Amino acid sequence: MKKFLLLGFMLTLAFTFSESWAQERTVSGKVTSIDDGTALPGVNVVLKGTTTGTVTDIDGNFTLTLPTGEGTLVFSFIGLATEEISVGSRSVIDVQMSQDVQQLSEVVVTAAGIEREERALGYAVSTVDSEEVLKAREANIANSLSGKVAGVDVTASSGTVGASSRVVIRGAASIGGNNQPLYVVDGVPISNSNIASVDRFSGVDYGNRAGDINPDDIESLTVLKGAAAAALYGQRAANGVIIITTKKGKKNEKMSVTVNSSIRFDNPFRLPDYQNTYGQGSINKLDSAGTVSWGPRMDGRSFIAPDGTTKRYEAFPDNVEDFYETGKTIINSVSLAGGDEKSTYRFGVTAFDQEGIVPNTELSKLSFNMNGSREFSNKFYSSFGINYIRSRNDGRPETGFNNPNAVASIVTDIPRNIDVEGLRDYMNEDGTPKLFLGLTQNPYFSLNENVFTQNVDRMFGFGQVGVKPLDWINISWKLGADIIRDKRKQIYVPNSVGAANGQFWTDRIFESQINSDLIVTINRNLTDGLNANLILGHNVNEIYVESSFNRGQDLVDPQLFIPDNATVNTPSETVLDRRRLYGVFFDLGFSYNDYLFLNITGRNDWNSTLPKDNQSYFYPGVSASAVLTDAFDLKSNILSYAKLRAGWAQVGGYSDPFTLQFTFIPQTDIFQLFGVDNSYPFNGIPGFAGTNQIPNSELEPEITSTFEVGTELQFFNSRLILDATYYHSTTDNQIIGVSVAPSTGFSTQLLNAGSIVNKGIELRLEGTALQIGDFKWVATVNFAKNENELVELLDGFDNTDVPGTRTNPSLKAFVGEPLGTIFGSGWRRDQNGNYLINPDNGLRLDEEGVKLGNITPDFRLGFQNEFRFKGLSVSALIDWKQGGELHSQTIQNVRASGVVTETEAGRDIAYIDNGVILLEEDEEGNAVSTKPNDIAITAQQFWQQQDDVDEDGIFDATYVKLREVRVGYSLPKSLIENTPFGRIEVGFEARNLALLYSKIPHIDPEVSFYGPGNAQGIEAFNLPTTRSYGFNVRLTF
Amino acid sequence: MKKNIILLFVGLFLLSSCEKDFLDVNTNPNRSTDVPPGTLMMNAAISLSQVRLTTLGPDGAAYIQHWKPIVVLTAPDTYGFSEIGNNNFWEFTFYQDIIKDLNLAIGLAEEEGNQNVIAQLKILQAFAWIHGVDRWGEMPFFESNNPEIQFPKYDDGASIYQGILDLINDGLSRIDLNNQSEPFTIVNFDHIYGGNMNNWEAFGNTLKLRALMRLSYVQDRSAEVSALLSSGANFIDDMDGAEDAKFRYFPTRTNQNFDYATFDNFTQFNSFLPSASDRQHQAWRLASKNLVDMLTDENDPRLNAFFVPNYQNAGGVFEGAVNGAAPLPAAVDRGYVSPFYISQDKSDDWLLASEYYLLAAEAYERGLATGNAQQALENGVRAHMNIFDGSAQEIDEVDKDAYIASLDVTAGGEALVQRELYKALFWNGVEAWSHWRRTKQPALTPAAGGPISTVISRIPLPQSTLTNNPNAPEVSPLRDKPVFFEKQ
Repeated sequence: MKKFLLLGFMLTLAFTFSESWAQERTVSGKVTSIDDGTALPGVNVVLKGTTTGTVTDIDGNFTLTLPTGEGTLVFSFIGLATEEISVGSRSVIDVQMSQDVQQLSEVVVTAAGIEREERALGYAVSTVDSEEVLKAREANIANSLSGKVAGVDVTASSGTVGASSRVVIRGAASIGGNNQPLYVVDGVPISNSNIASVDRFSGVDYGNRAGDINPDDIESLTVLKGAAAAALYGQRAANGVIIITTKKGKKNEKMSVTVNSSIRFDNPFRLPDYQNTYGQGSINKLDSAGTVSWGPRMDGRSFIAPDGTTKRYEAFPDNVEDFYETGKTIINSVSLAGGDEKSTYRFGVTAFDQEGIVPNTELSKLSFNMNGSREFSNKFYSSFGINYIRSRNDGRPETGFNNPNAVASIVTDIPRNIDVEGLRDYMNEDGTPKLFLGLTQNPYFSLNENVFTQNVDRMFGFGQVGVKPLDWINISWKLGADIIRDKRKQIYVPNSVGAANGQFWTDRIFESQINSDLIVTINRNLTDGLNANLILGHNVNEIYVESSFNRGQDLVDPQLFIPDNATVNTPSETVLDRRRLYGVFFDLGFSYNDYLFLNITGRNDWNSTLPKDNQSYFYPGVSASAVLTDAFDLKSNILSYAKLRAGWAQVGGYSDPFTLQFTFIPQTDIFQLFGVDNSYPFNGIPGFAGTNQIPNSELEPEITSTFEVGTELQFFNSRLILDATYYHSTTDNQIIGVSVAPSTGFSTQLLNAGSIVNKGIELRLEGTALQIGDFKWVATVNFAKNENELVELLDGFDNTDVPGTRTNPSLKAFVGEPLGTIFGSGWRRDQNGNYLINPDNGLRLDEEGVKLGNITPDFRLGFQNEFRFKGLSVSALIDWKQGGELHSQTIQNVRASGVVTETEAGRDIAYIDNGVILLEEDEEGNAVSTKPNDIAITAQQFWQQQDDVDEDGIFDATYVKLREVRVGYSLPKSLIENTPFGRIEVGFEARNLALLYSKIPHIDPEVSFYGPGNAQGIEAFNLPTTRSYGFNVRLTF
Repeated sequence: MKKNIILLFVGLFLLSSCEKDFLDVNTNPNRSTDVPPGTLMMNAAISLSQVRLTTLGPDGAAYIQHWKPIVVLTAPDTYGFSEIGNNNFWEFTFYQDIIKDLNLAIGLAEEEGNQNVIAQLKILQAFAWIHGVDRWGEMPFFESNNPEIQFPKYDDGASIYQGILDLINDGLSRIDLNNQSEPFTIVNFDHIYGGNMNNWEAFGNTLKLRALMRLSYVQDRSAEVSALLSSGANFIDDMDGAEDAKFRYFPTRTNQNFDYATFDNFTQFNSFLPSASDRQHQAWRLASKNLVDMLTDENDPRLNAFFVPNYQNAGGVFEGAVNGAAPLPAAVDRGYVSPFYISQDKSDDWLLASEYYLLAAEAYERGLATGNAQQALENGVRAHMNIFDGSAQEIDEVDKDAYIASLDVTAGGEALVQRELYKALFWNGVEAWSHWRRTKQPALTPAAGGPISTVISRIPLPQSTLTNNPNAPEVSPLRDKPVFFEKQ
């Protein structure tokens, strides 16, 4: 590595000394803005056709020595229209520059904080600005991307406070590895970990760490979609990059203070359609301890409840709705920003306080962001940015099922005659809980007594120093860090179901990431119109994550949840991640007359997680773009801009750490679902176990190759803009823990196996549909279709598990199919498709191992409309996801419990299921002889038989949602002229307003049980997602 | 300025140039690469005992109607099973925690050449294999647990039993009674026998008898049975149970019986009666009609050792509950599995002297070997009755004698012996289920309300093996297909 550093250094020197000067005369001047007359610093001033040039200083002044004779100076600056001025015999040239309307907001931030003109990029990028991010004030910034960027797929887990969200760009490229993009804030990669959210049945969603980022501090959010865009970030960017630029103070801007205040209310987006005829019990008999609603008609009779009180047997139609409360979020932020000619400064503080829809769940976040920059007189510059987030969560519900503490699974199918109000009083006078329903736990007990907490303290930021020894060389070094302390505690007070003597789990997670980027940028005009830009970079990255866990059981003092107070403690220390990487890279770009661009990139990484011999690998990339309208002077009233782009790039991937050799794992406890765990040492004897993966000491890096081609066309003076991209991406040599036959003694074998192809198109159509006077209607459509296929796996294997699901149903990847086949039990049928009925009981026969559906959607479409009239703006976003299937455990359970409307019919009569009775079958299980079904069953049996058979939980996941609505009003300047305010804006914001179309009953089709991992498309008693609406006031002084 | 640039570069160079071992961080600091084989044996043994106590035992007991489960774990009463539990047992507990960890331990022991260690591990592994093959019928054996073979072939039950016998013989042949100390033998980490190789030898020989007798209705193994019984080999034959193979538990929360833990943890739901603080007996395992009637008819004093009446039942006479879908007796008339079995330090009984004697008695009675069937029968029953000695359920010597005197193998024949073993395997439900399938004694009425019309014969293969192993059968045999050793 030293070698490369040295090489970079020598190159720098070489350029320095090769320069020669032919000095004849001096020209000076000042560049100002045509709009307000302010000085424009940093404008490029070049003598046309030469490499001679300079940039304007902080006051907009420039001085340039030129050869005698005629010449033309070219003044250019990103975002401004280029001016060409003939020098003639003048020695002073003052220039006014105007904004280039067409180029506005076409500057994008790419790798390592480098700004590029979008026209120069040979790949697709999308930028979402601050206004867009804040439109609906999503707590998790990932959600604010939904429907706004073609090719970006966002899935929220649930509506709990601090819930996680998953972002996938252009489809999943890995079966077992990470598929989410890299998050980069101000040029520094940060963690988006999601550690142990939900296990096979239940657990707590502790959020994904990108959700810590404060939306109020975001200036812009740029999505780099393909490997081409990511070459400079290296392997971690194989799934795309979300580049976040925080707000900064601006140079030469007076100090301004912005105060923003928002309030938002949440309620459940969708709850099941309940029946209100039949109540608690079974086989039409009232059972006051029963958990299902197969009892008799609710006729108002009296009965004794398990807690000893007398109740009337009548329906409480809103009992589930009443359980959820109106969530409330208050967000206040204050920021101060400004700058002089050499420095900028910004300080912002945001307080976020949320009460969830689930009783007694709260999240409060305090974040501050501070940044500044300084240019020194001797061509040195420096900047820094610090973000601190303090997140305190009091009460976080357990999701899922098979767990007495998981409230949604208990509340969602609570018998129809139970008034949840009556459950609030859940304690007997002696401090023991009142009996509820069988072995289930009163949800208010769970939420008020077993209060789970999570405290996150996180700091990330950067410091940068740089120097521009010459006006065409820029050397900068940026050191970034991201430190997270995440302290979680789950307590179960004594008398909790499953923890009679109390227990607690504590998990202290520590994450750190350090990143160093040394970048040398050399920019030269080689000949007339030909510019070269060379970036040489060196990158070091280290990630370390550890968890210190303890399960304490059997408490002495029932209210003290520390190890010292537990009779049984089972601590364990785990290093979850530990990896180091260094890389060197270059990016050589040429531009010709600002309409033809070519970029060549390359990077070599050395990665600690691979075997010594395979630690180093190189991957190249090339991309080009051409602005046809400029190149061939095609500009007309119809076609105002046309750009073609194409790119190809590779990016290498890596495996998790510690996967190369066999190890033995020290055992701490022997888990018991109900009951105190036995723990080691057992009878004084320690225990060890082998790993469940066959390691691979010869692992190689995986390689993703992406080709993309696209165009951007603007018509009618940019009133209609079309951006289209086609891409094809192959991930070869994929590192997979392939599912092996369990009789090998292992679950998986780590192999370089298989290849996955993602190909698709992305379209963005933006048009000014109507413009009459001050009224303007802009409509935007984002469309993306991705086709995903596991092209090959190892010989002899036709499928492998997508890690992280349980077995019924499971998620698998089959060769020749998109990743994510839902696999589980289905009904047996005869050759004619009739259900086969069990002659012993009249119920349908089922079988395991059936492909039930695939979670991959056909396409996604976002339709955004914005109406503006003077200071008033109204916008609405419709989000459409077509196709893909989902498995819902909730729907199966609410049906089996007899609480939803479709279970109401036929309860008074015996029922003969459609199907034929199986009399004889062959070895393969095919029906040989059958007879018509004549065995009567009850409605209860009919619905309960489908509870365990996954096929009946499969639904088409298509939805169309009214995702966002915002009404904003900026008070006219005339009204506030005599106030201290520079600007006053008020807004109404709403999110997830309506489900316009869905084929799934009872639940929000857009949820994921397992959180943001790869195991998507499975729903199981997720807490309801939320509909939010609120108000916002922004004051600028 | 140049000075500054050079200084900056030198600084950056120093900062970002890396140490030589910069990338050498790929070893997990919290894992081991070499451990004593005994720690792996411990993990395998406890995993096996846990699954026996929480799943296999209660399931088997319900299948063959030793008791009737209510409130919790009720599915096996109508031959139901959990697909997820079945898969987890196959994939994680059986092939990984038990068989693989023992294999890894054998590998470590072979490196050191410690023959007694290998013997201990192989005998334990053979014992574990019986649980697998009896449950699923056919499964990968010979090619299993070899990282080189991704798709192990399926073996039929008869071949697997031969493989198990070979494992036992291999283990037995390695035993060196003259060298019973560390590191030649696992001593300190041996939770079963504390390194006593004489006992391991008795366990191995008795296990061999169990395996041979399992085959006795489908294969003629009389020569081996005869040779084994007449060889003077060391068996688990101590009438006080001193040699019994047991996984012991202790009256502490960290080392307690797994089955008891379930009851203990649900005291607020009345898992014990009359209350959590006054635990007269548990409430969720009822005396079955099948066993209550059988013991009552035969005047077997174990009726009141296996079961206790409801605490409110002054008369003490209780009614058995019918297995399967059927109404329950009134609470006060129910019998409950006694506190002898549901207690914090109840051991998990793997192989007891009673089983040795009763298997031998059957072999003698059926002419598979030569010996005194009556004497062996009496020893077996007495050894079993002796297990209650010293407990609240202790059986008076006069009652033992009286009952034993009523046994006549000449009149009762092999069925009598087999029914006695059926009783002696109470609370060893997994072995009791295998024994019943082998002998079909006593006659049982299949539980009503289940998906099949016979007593369950096997658990279907879990989906993970059908999907991930092309050598697996297309479809799994269903639960009413007899396993190979069943008497038809």
